[in-house]
Amino acid sequence: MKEKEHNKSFDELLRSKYQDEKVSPPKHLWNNIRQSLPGGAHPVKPWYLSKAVIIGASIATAIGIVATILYFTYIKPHQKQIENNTTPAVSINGVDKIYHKKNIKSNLNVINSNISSKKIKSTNIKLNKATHTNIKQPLHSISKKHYTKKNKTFKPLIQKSIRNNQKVFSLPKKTKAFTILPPLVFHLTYNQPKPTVYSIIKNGKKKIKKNKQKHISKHHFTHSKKNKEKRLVTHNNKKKKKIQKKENTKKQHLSHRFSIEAFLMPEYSYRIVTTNPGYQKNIFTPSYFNSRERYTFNYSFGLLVDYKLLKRLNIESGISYYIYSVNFSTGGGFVEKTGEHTGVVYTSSGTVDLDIEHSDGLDNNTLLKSFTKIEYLSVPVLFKFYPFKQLYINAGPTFDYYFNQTENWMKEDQEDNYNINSTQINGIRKFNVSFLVGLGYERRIWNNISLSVNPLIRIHLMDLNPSSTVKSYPYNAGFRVLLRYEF
Amino acid sequence: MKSNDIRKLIQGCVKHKPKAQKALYDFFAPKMMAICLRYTKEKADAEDIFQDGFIKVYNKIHQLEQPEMLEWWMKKIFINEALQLYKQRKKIIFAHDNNFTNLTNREADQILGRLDIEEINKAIRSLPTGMQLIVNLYIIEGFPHKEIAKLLGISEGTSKSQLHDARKILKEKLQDFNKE
Repeated sequence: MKEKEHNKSFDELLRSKYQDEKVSPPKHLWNNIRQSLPGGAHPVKPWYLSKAVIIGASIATAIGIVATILYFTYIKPHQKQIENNTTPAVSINGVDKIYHKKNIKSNLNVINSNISSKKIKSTNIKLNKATHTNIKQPLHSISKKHYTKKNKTFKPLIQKSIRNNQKVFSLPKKTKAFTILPPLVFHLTYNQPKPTVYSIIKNGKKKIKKNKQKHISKHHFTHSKKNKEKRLVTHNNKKKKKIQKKENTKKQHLSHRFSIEAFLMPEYSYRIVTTNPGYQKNIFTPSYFNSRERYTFNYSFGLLVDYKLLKRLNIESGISYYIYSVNFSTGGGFVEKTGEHTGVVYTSSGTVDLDIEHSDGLDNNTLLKSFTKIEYLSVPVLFKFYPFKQLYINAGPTFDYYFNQTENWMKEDQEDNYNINSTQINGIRKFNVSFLVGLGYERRIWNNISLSVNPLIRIHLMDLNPSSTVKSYPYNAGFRVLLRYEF
Repeated sequence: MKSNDIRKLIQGCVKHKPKAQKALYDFFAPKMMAICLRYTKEKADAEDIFQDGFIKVYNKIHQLEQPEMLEWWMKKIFINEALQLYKQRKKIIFAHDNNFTNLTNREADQILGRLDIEEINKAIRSLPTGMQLIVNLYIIEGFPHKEIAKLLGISEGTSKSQLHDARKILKEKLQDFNKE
């Protein structure tokens, strides 16, 4: 009876020891289970790879690109056109302000169009103050000091506008509507661009604001009509030339907005290894792998489309092919035996199952070496900034899709009939995101063709394999040679 | 975990939703791994049972009628997997040992109280296979002898005598561990 009671207490004590007993399973087991499930073959996606986020980010990027293109194609040129069409205005006593405008359509508020030619008395100009309410700043101002007492005429700037039969008006806020795609209609409202301010000073006494004002001294005014006209003609010609030059440069830029680039890149691939919190206690530390894995050289290539957003800023995208490859040597002790001829090997990229077709089988101390090659297709979205004419900096994200993996395992001192069959590394991410940054030098070698060299670094932002014993971030450092054709 | 959450998990797993499958795994994997390790002598075997057990759980979860019994149902699947492995390998040996310890009951309890779970596990694993299974099934899981006999394909009497011997040997082993 006593024995029975003691057995009961012994059993209870033993059972209590096992209450809530938990042992964390190795991470690779979940990958194996997941792959065997009918509906669970795909890994659980992190939030940033969810459909909603990807679609949202794509739409935002597309809108951003379209808006940027529209801004630089339609709005900015239009603003510049208004600026170019504006000629000096007159200020009398610093109070009244009027604007001159060339070729402005009839919907603008014309306040005075009947100014007679050549001579105008100051009293003849009656300015309607109500029309100035929208105007924040005058274009060019000339005070009443700039009238000559003798003939009471305006000085050259006014005369010029009179000769050209220009109209004096106020420029209200403008609204422009344009359609991108039906039914999307954009209404853009913009203010009159801030003009350059001219002020006339006498004997250099009047103070002027730095960088904002151009000075027209009294030397600009001559009493001789011929000289006046000569000066005006020269002034006009110079201005016309300047505008034409600007337009030509702009046309040149616009005509080469699109270009196609093909590149080839000898590159060096390696990885940064850090500890995985889930596997901190085991022997597979970063230094353990660093002493056994060696880098390799490869070639990458791709085709890119380049679009000129601004004079000094381009955006490029396309498709590229990259390789990440590592040579690995077990150095003994890396193989975990799972059967007579089978075993598991740990690498920084993940675990590989091996099957050796040899009578000796697999030993824990078998020295093995391998060559791992992981191939990626990459879609870059790069911004290219030209601080100088031929030098550029390019940077941006690349979206990588891992599509193939090659594993070659062999014995270090290879013997005959020692074939090792291996599986692919378990659990490598299909999608990854990298960041690319580089520096380039570009030189035109033919009419529309230019050649550039672009040393760069591309590093993975997410670890290669979440189930690996360490976190491994591959990177490529290469020297890209690009051939560019401008349309 | 609340019963509502468990119901949702089960429904998700029935619909083969990866998120639900992962959540179920994350919640139960440590407990099930402990069971697998207790029923085997080698880690590799435990991992095999663990994988096969979970695959079976996901494939048969639609058959579970009482969601509140999920843990018990899963335990049974893993235990069955372990027993199946032994049966396949024909490795269940029901040995008898007459070299019993003269340890008093109180001393045995004191030693058991002092030892940690890893040492107790080692002691249980060092038992002959049949005894190891019966200790696990009867003492730790709480199965009755009738069910154990059915599971292992033995008589109730064998189950009882194996358990009796197992207790004695286990006490001796625990004493050895205590000395170390």
